[in-house]
Amino acid sequence: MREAPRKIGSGPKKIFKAGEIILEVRDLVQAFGDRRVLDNISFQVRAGETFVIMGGSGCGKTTLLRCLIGAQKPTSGSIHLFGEDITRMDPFELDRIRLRFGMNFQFGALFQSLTVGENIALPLRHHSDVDSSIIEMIVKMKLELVGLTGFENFMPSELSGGMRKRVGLARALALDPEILFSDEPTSGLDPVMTAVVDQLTLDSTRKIGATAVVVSHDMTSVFRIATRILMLGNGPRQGQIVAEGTPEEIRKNPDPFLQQFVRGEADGPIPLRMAQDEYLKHLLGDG
Amino acid sequence: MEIVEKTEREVLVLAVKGEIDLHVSPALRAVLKAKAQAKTPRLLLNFAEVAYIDSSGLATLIEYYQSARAYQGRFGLCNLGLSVRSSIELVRLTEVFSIFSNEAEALKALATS
Repeated sequence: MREAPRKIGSGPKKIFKAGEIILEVRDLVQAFGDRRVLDNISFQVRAGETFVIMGGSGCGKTTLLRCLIGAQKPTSGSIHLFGEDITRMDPFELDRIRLRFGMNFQFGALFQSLTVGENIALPLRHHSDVDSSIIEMIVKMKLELVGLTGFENFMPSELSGGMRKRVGLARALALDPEILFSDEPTSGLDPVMTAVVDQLTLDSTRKIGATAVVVSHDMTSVFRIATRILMLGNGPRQGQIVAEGTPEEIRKNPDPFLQQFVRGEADGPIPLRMAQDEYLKHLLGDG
Repeated sequence: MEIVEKTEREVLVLAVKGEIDLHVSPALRAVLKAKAQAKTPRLLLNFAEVAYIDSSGLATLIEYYQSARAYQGRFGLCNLGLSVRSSIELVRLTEVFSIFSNEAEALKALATS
């Protein structure tokens, strides 16, 4: 019989020192039918980094994130997280790995029937034997980190979208994860809250030594937090790595696709509309 | 986690060794609860050999701080490593706890108070 998932911290685990490879993706392919959403992706993330994955809508960055957290099995390739290939793991093994990372979903993904405090406490109640009074204090500390002190008894429906997002972040931080995965953590936030969330990401990596993997297309935020950036392409370069480097290297990279994205320009190689003949063929059904 | 206990200049010193995470903090909590129940007048936690403390560990320290404050007990921390200090700073508790750079300095302050 298979062993039940262990409580967090109860098993032997390798502690990753700053600079060691904590996440390694090799030759990752994700295809849906004939369409390759991710096309031979390979990269490494080192402990203590803030690694940002960016790219236009539909480039596959959220699909990539889903693969990284084990929510989606890739078509081929491997993902070594904490030194173990999660693509070969069964659900029990994945549960063990999931205790070591936090996932901050794009829209918070809160349980609507639970209070804010109960949402944040959920991973602690499920994965530890810590006393309720200690959990309540942790909830207060996490809420303070995201600028929501005093909101523990609110229901998610009583909060704005941005506040729900921050509660989602507080919940992702509840177990003090070694890696924090974030999907568009600042989209829809005002500039001040964006700065707060960015600072929290920086504090988690620089002060606590955690690692952050962030999906974002908020350029201000990307250049504020990233130690390295990976750009995924779309259109003819769908799901391929367009560029990878430090923020400075990305700024200097002459790739026109990359520069159009970084500068937010409407005109350039990123395909937004079909060529006229293709469009007419599609519209009129000719040929 | 290991805890070595000694009394110096009427201050109970607990030298803690290991990482204080969700797995370990309940054991630290049990020790500190016993000290609070005994109304220990002066308690110093020496963290020279603590490389990491998580939120449950910090919450455990807050709980002891609150208990000690209720009976006017003194409580201090010393020899904090960078990671532990950063964790305390991140949740803005540096003003709450009495933090000393070494044991001698802590004993001097706690013993005379």
